[in-house]
Amino acid sequence: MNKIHIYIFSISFSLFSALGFSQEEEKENPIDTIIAYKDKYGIRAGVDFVKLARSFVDDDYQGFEIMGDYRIYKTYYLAAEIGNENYTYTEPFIEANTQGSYIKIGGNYNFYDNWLGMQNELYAGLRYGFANYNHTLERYRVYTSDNYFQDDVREVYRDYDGLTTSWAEFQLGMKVEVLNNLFLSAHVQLKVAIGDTELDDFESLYIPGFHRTYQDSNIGVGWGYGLSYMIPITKKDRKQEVAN
Amino acid sequence: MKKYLLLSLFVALICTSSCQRDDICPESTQTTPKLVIEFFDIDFPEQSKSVPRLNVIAEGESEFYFETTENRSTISIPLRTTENFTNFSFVRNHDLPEDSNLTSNADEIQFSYTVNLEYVSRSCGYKAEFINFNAVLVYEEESVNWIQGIQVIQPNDILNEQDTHLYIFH
Repeated sequence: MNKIHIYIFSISFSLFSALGFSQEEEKENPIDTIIAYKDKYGIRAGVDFVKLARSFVDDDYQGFEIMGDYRIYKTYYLAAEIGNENYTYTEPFIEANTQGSYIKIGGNYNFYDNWLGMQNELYAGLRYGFANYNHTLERYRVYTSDNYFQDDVREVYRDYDGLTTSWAEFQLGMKVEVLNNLFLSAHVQLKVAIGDTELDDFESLYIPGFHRTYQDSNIGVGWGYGLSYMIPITKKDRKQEVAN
Repeated sequence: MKKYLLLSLFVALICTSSCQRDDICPESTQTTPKLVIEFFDIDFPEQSKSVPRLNVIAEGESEFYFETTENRSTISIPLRTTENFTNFSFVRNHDLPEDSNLTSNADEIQFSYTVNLEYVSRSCGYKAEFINFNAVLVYEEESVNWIQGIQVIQPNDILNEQDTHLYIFH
């Protein structure tokens, strides 16, 4: 699984760079013509297909995420994601399940200069994330530094219910209009958990929307690939200076 | 230019956090402790005295704990976490060469305790602690015990391997 992640990540990274370079070249040409065009504003909604695909491939994972954004001003977007995850994970000595829902609310800033009403984005986003979830510690094997005695596996099925976590999330991503109003997107996430839920004799190893936690750190990471459709609501007249 | 800087910083941050190795239990972490035993001279109780050709075997196990039999003055042995007791046989002059005129002598000590399980971390899982530890030497009527006295060190809780938990005099 990890190798696939790294692979996906490298692809998105190279796409980012490609977008960036083509943009810089344009700037060097002299301005020649001014062209008027319509700029579409609307609600864009989509799904994350990494979570969707993983639900089919991975027996231990069920999850989905719906994402939406609304352009409020030229390069500013309100954005939100909601999702649900049910994940059973196996650590060397622990098997546990986490299930719950999350919501992320915030905005994106598009710093990609589009050409003539195209709506591609290279964006930075900020979110407030909130998750409500339960853990079930299913079983664990008591840690021993040698194997002289037989393994001591405890089937506990201990529930930790009604847990919540908040976090701040920074996103970097791109959206490309592949067909009229249809967008493919990719983004990476960096998050910092706010506050810490202390569990009795366990800890949150996975949090829906926040993903895997790291020991002695409140940092989380993630990424997503989305397919979304924009329902145009208004159109605004714009003019752009174009190089010959 | 600024955005590339931002991007590289972001990638670097993601890499450091996702490449962090916390899926292997570090040796420095205190996990389930072993029972630490020191051997002393019965005539000079302050003086450490090694046991010739010592090896130990737990009741119910088919193999000796130490791979090699040698003279030892300090040992660390595991306790069962599935039970609240472990009985160990301490064998002096174990596995003697054929031409030796010494005899092998096995003494049994019964250890009892309460197992307390505690969460450690993602990679180390749960550890056991042995609370209210006690040791009883089984006296043999027909043969002679090579162990002449034992002393459980107070407080009698086995929480780490830095402390010695039991003195054996011989």
